[in-house]
Amino acid sequence: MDAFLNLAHGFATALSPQGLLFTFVGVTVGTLIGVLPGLGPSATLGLLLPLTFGMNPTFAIAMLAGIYYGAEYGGSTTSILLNLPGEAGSVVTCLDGHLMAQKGRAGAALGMAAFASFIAGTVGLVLFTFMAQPLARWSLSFGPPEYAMLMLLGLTAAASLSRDKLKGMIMCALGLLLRTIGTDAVSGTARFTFGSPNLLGGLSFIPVIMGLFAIGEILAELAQGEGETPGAVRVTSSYRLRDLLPTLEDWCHSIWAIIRGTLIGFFMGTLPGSGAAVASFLSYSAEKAVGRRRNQLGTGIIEGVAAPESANNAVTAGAMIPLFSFGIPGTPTTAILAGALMMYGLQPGPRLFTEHPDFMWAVIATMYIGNVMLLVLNLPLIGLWVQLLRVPLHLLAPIVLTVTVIGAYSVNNNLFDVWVLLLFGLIGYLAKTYRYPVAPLVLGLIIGEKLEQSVRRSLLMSLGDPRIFVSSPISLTLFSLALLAIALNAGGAVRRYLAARGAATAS
Amino acid sequence: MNKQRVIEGSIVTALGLTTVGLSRGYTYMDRYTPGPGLFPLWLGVLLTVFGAIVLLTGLASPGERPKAATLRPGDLVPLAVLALLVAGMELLGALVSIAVFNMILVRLLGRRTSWPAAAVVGIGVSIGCYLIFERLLGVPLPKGLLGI
Repeated sequence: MDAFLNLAHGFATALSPQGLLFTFVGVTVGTLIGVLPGLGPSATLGLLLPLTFGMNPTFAIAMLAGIYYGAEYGGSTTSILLNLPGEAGSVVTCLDGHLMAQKGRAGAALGMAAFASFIAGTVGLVLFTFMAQPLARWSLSFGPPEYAMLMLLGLTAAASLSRDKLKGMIMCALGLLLRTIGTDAVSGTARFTFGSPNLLGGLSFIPVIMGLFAIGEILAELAQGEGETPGAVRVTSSYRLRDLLPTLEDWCHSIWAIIRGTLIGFFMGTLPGSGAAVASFLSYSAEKAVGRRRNQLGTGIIEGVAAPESANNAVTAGAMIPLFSFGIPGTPTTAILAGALMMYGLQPGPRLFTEHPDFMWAVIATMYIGNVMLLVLNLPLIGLWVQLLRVPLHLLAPIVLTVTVIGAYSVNNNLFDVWVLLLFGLIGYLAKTYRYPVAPLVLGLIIGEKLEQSVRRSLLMSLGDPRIFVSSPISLTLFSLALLAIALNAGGAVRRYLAARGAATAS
Repeated sequence: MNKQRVIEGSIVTALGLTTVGLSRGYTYMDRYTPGPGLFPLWLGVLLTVFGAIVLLTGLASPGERPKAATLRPGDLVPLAVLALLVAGMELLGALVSIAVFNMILVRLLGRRTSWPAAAVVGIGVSIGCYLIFERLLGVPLPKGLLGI
């Protein structure tokens, strides 16, 4: 009851003209950042943080938080239209979203991404409002062994998304290996740098992702036919909003995917360091395991958009729990939010609710309003985004390639990252040609550091005994699920191989 | 024998073995403390095993896949042009390179597009990048010898 009253009081502040303005600015900038590859919400928050000095803390945090969850909304747009993930959490959306666009259903995909994000973001906020404390206690039970097994489960899930599971596992391992390039955080040893100072910091994953997805895809589409509209997309000639939105049938197919994605994303968000990418992969994999049309995932169905998009938005709400309950930022973006709080003399942690309740509940209220704004902002833009597909490929491809180059450069203001982009563009094209899935490689690259740290810390805790990874109920459960996934993958691969041999022998 | 699969398996196996070899140059375990060599060494082992499976299944396979993939070097021309853009960025600056790159690629890909029209597109994209990235988002683009 107290929470309702506090929230109502918070809405009174959030609905003020200033509150609405700053929330709107935040979600708009966030959406733009999400659409543009290369610039992430953490970099943008870092750029804008000094500008908020002197502002009302409530409205400043509302704006910054709006950028955070707005970016997850925007990241799906280029994933669907151009197979170019704007954010790490939108990588999985490419799998079915872009195929839907190629089938002429870009509007439905974009619409479902917006609605799924809205529902997940709002439900996540409700869960945050009323369940912050018990969930915070739950997240404390995750130590290094549990994190290691969780990451392993995420990787096996990513490998299982591929048609050829063995190729998926190869790409996972390759992604993890790429992540080891650079200076080891524990010992300071330079690994696989071959004397290059540019590699001491490791590979930035933004240029790698853009190279693998965007450049690889564009090269493949250019190879199919010059001058055609991208991927032979059939763009509807109708401009009516209702023709660009998900149908009732789409909603029937997606509702459970949204529910599962929201819960998975929210709980993943409460675990510091897990991130939107892992959550979206796990949500997609859960859909592949239990969804009604699981056999059609990967062919361009609406659930393939709803599941990851709901997960990556629910993560933003879940990530607020470690920040506000313990003062532990779980992601680079929430770390900057924590910095902003300290800049205003507000110590992130459990006392924020008791010592500054007006501030906290007003910020929560602005996040509810921000989610509504994002839906209202993004839906009318769907028609505009879909028209992008009418642009002939010989005009669109150079522009997209240019944007990826600038995006890669903007990560560290270093041309070396652009060369990395080109190298992985070539690898992405080769992967597409020889049918190697790139999504598992990307996930390996994103979570590799966290996985290695968790493994090494666990072994340090156990004095080198690997049984620590199955010593707690949580880690044992996660390990069992990962093992089950590997066994199912291996079994499927063997069955396919034997079937192919049988067919070849019979012919 | 599936030649493509044999080649793929050989590459992955070679990569795995190379990784194992290089990882042995880093500390594996320092008493009870896992060293920087532990993780990459086991990844190398995994890649070697996976590559060997692909190689052996390729050798045991009855024949090529009906639609074996083929690589056409001509498909990489846009990437080569892009590489020229990047190489030119430090010398000519980002905006000039972007204009030139877009002009060349638009003309190469759209054969019915004239050079003047391609030039207009190139200049337009360059101006757009300046306004969005440098002015609006504050991303400092490389300035070449011309200072633009």
